[in-house]
Amino acid sequence: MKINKTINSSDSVDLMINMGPQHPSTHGVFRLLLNIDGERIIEVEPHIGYLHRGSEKLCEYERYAQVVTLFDRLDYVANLNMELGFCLAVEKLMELEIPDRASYVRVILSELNRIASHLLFYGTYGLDVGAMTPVLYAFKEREKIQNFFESVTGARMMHNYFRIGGIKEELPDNFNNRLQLLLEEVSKGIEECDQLLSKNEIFLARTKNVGVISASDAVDFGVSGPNLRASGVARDIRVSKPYSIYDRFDYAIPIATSGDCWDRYYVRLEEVRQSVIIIKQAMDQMEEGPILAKVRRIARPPKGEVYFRTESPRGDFGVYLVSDGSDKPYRVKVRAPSFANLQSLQYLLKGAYIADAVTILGSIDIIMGEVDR
Amino acid sequence: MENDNNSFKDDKSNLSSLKPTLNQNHLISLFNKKFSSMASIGMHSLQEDIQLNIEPKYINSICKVLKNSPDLSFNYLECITLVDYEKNLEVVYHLTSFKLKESIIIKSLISIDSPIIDSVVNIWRAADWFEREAHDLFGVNFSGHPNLKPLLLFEGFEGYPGRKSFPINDYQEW
Repeated sequence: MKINKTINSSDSVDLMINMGPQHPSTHGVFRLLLNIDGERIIEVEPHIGYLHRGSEKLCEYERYAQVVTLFDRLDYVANLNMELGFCLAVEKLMELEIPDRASYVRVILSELNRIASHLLFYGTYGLDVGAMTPVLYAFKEREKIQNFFESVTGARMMHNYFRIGGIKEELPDNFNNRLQLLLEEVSKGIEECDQLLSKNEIFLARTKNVGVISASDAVDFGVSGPNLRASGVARDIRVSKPYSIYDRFDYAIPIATSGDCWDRYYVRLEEVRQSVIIIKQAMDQMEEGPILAKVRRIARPPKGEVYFRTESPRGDFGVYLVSDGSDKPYRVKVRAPSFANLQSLQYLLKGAYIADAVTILGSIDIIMGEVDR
Repeated sequence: MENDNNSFKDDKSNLSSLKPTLNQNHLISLFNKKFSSMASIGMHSLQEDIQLNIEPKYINSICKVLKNSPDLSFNYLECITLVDYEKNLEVVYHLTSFKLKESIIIKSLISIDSPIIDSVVNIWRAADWFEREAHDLFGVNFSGHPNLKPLLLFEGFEGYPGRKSFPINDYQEW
């Protein structure tokens, strides 16, 4: 840690503390400059861009089917949700009808990925506030999901499983039984995790009434997803503007009111339970059938543009696609939820104790691959 | 793509080909009342949202009305996108009103030789990083933005990598 000393005109001494880019609690390469007065943070300057790979520019030089692989690498703990967002945008542009079975498989896998992503949050957030054990329990469950993904898509991460018009291949033979078993184990694991950390006295003291953001401020900063719902705004794209087949399921959207770190944490835990409910319904409704719509090998969407919103584990994931009629997109813009969520950090950290900086940063649940793109 | 680059975008026949919903009809009449002299209002064929095409000089005043008038209250700025059409840059704003449960798109064309547009960061704080990113990658100057420092790129980076004219292969970093 590098410390610069600057002396103000008044007698008090301001310290500039550099945090990151290689800091275990920044979940990637993210740098913060904290200007502190005693124990209080008075000014924050976030620096991002260490992971900037120019994904949006690269998309313009790849065919539509190849772009899916780039989307895998945006939010690298929720790969399938990213693939889903892009595929749906292209399909909307081409006005494609997707076979029902493919849609169900997509929903099941995306919701599983949401659970895996939230479990990762649960584990690392425990670490952020100083609890070592939760991460072991969370990763045990997450590993089961990743293994399941491997058996279905062939890869633990970076699946490239969703195709424009459907999915890559038929599910493995014992898919339903294994998914049933997985859901039972994961549900049990979630309850275990909940009992382990949520009502822990030290955890409550570290997170309750820390990093509070009101609904109107959160909306003004463009915050979305669980972070926004923790502040009491009922916005979930799956319900407010249902995409794919999300209107066929019956589930609840967890909402908290106080908008502090604990609420942001607990909303995610509740969401995992709702995802399990969605997957169970999807399993019951899913029928045999084709898995890929009749599409040409090389997709050529007509001239036009579309902005497609989906609900990724981190919030409103928007894909803005401009097509010039060729086999490559003219422009792809990714509205990454973490990017907007991270903006609120400057507000959240102002006036907070320096000991809470990591608690607050962790509760926003950022993924730098998505922020920097 | 290389030749005749502007032919596919300014296709006005696309506008108003989709039927607006009742709610949207009401919004369109509201917009016509408020901005008829400043914006062309319609629906795009694929996007289900109302689209306002406006001149860059009106952006701040229109956005202020959109956010602050109680019958509209577009309080959520989702995204600011830049699209490079080689001669022009198009600035695209996606807004949502939680009250009306409607989304709209605002589009404004600026010349690539003098890419200046008013900042909306005084209206939505969410615009801060979106504008900084656009400044980084496309070289757009948002007048009125308090802090247009590089966000994704490092200080002293030359060129605008988001633009079509920026080479993807011949670029030497070191």
